[in-house]
Amino acid sequence: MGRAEGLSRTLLESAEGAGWKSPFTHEGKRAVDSPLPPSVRRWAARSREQVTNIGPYQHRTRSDKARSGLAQRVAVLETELSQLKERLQQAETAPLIQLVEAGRITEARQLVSLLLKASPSPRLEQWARVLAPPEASVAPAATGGTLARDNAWLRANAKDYAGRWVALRDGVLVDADASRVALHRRLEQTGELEGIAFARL
Amino acid sequence: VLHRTDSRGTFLPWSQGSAEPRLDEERQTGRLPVAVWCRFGALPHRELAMLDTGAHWTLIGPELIESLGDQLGAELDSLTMSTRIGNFKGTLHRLPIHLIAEQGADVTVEATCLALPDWEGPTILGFHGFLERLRFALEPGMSADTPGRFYFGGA
Repeated sequence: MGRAEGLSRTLLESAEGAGWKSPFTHEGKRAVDSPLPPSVRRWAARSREQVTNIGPYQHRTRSDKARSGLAQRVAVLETELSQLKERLQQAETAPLIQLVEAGRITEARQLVSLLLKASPSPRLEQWARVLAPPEASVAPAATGGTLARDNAWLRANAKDYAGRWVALRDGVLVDADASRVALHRRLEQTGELEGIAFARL
Repeated sequence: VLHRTDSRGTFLPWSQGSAEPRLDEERQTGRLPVAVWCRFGALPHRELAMLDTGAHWTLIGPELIESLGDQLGAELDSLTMSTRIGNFKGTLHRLPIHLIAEQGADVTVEATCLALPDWEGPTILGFHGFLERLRFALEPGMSADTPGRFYFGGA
């Protein structure tokens, strides 16, 4: 017997004990046509409501609604937090940008170092990386063995190609175009990009 | 050959590589007083770039930006740079730049360059993020028989 059914039976027995005659038999068949007294109907209705409200289905529905509302609130808060972080980072990097734009690179390097110590963030780390002094290293060998030939071609022919991009290899013109992008793509498609020297004349 | 000494008095070569520069060349975007050959990032080809100690940054234009693509990495905040041909917006990127040598050895600089998508001028090798850690010297070209020479080495 379920909890609701048990409570209904208890209600019925209590009403019968109070002198009310049930219109139904205990097997569920209608015995008489007399309606329930109003006080008992109200009591029964209240009790039924309570039983329904604490029932497993109703409980689950409320919980899902609460969870969904909470998830929405969390999503809103996360968006607000992300916007706040963005504004904070912009506020952090604004003085850096001003220094860089003014050409005060030494001061910008000092500032980014201080900011990183105070509140490290990936964005500040990226700023520190681009503002870091350059580092030079020596390659194993020289790769410009044919530069003299390319330079000689430029000396002899530059005026004929004024305003165009030229692609040279070993002092020989491979291709030319008004558009560097078009020239680059053409050479890439034909597999001739390796070792090319580009110059805009 | 020039030499230098370190803190212990050891003689070291002053430069590691040298190449003939292009001097005083006329371009549609203006004259290039000094231009040198270099390679950007992992690109398989070389470029002529203007050497400019007066430029704050190394500047690359739209063509090179497109060729480099993902090699430039993530963009930082946009900057507005004032140049002799106007103001341009761009972003700073870390990128290896290789100075090409005819003699000695190439020198690679882990450099910072400013990518300007609307830049119409030549590619520029500037001071901050590039030249500031290089030792370099320029021998002027006196005639066709005695062309100039650009000497360079890591500082």
